[in-house]
Amino acid sequence: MIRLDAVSKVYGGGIPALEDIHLHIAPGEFVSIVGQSGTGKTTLVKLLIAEERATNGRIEIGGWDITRIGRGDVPLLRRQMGIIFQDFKLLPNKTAFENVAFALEVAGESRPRIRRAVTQLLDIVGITEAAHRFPFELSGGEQQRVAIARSLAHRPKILVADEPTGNLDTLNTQEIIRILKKINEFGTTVLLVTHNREVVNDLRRRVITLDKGRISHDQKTGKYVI
Amino acid sequence: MIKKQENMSFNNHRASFFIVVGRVFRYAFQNILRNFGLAIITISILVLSLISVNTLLAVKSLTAAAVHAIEKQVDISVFFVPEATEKQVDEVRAYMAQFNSVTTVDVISREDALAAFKARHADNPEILKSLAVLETNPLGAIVVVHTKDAKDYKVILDSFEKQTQFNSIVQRRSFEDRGKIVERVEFLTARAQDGALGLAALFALIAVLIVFNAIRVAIYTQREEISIKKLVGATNGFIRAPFFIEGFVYVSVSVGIVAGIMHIATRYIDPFLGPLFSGGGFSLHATFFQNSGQLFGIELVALLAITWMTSVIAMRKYLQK
Ligand SMILES: Nc1ncnc2c1ncn2[C@@H]1O[C@H](COP(=O)(O)OP(=O)(O)O)[C@@H](O)[C@H]1O
Ligand SMILES: [Mg+2]
Repeated sequence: MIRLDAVSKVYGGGIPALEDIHLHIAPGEFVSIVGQSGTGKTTLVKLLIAEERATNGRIEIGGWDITRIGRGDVPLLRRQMGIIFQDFKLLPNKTAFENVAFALEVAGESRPRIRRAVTQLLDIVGITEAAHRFPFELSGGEQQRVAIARSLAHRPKILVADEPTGNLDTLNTQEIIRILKKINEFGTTVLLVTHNREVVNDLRRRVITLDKGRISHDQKTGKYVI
Repeated sequence: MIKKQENMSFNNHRASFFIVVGRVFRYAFQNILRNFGLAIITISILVLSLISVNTLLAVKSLTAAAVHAIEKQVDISVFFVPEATEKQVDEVRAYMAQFNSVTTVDVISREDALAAFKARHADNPEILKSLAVLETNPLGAIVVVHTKDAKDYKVILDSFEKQTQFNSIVQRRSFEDRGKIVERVEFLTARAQDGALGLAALFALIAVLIVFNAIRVAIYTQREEISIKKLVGATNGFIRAPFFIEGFVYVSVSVGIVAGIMHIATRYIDPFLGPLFSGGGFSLHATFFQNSGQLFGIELVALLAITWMTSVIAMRKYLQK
């Protein structure tokens, strides 16, 4: 589902943020990516969603070589992936409902279908009651659940989450991880970047550890090793 | 599994044009209403910029009208000796009328001149009494010449002076004392027009810079939203369109408001201008709104061009990733 061959990324001539990354993630996997701050985790995510281009190597997603993806094709790639961030990245002037609907509106979906899909998605993440509130009227946990609903709008085969629980307390963290596990059970490949030792250890799934831009460990049912 | 063509969950259809247009319009108006404070500020800046430019344009047409009014009061009057015959007077009239720059030549007959003199001094019995003592009309006929332009008087007067055959019948010419005025008027005309035009250009430049900056700030405050929209798969056009529509709304509303303000302001000023233009009939309102469609049309198009160009430049940075 995701394949990286000898990928490296150097920002503006500095030291490499990622170096010689070889990675293969099969469909349906739940992979945690851990590592100290500044070791290139976010850079890896940005390469996967084509926010940055690799300096060297080759990146393939679902059989699509996106290494040199054209600007016009980027929206098409992103509509097929779910993306979640630590800071939620909701549109502040749109309600929870509108935020989720927006992801479908950009793809030209019809109104009735959007209404049905969004209602269902908000139900899945338990935000039905707060559907018409604006982000500032929602707690951090609720905002992240709206962001997850949005990321699922296109029923993505791949979900990438960059420290989605970084701003949340333990209870909300558990809730978000529970939802991610559920999504994974339905067949979506999940890539979870996290700092949270307990989360990783509880998951007992594959763990990839980055260290100074290189993969230092890749364990089948891993533990947080740093 | 993931393809370039989108076919993951829903039907693989191209977005209908009308759905997309409807959506970007909805986003634009939602954004205006939900950022109402920013909308008010943006419109205020546009309105103030437009008012400064339009005020100068009004001042320019006011100076032009004032200069014109002064010029109209300038004339050449040729006073004849009482003995001059009608034929001789008519020769002078014909001589004056041959100049291209001359607009009107009026002949005031001896009788009319006397009647006007009496009317002018109706409240002065001394003068009237001494006039009655005379048996004959002491006044000669008068020829009054108006030209298109104040600077033409000198040319006409110079060539008139060379016509020595008229010397014996002409008592005096009234122009000498007004020559200075004409020179001053010409001088002021040139200065006033240059000044108003220069100021208008300066104000327009300042207005453009202010608008440029206001748009940049407005887009800067929304840079986060632009990047979020990109992350969820919006195309650049889909992100830009609502901004353009918003710009169009702001600009049209501002031009409308300014047209209204100029309408009220010139109407309000007009009564105060009446006494300044003794000829009467001058209306700043009428003059300013003579080509109002063209004037405000140009302002609308110019502002749209500025705001749209600025939007494109300001957004480019945030649309990169
Ligand atoms: N846009 C950028 N320009 C230059 N350097 C960057 C940029 N983004 C990240 N870096 C650098 O790349 C390295 C990896 O950053 P990042 O991928 O954000 O790490 P992590 O997410 O693991 O904390 C860091 O040294 C960081 O300073
Ligand atoms: Mg990071």
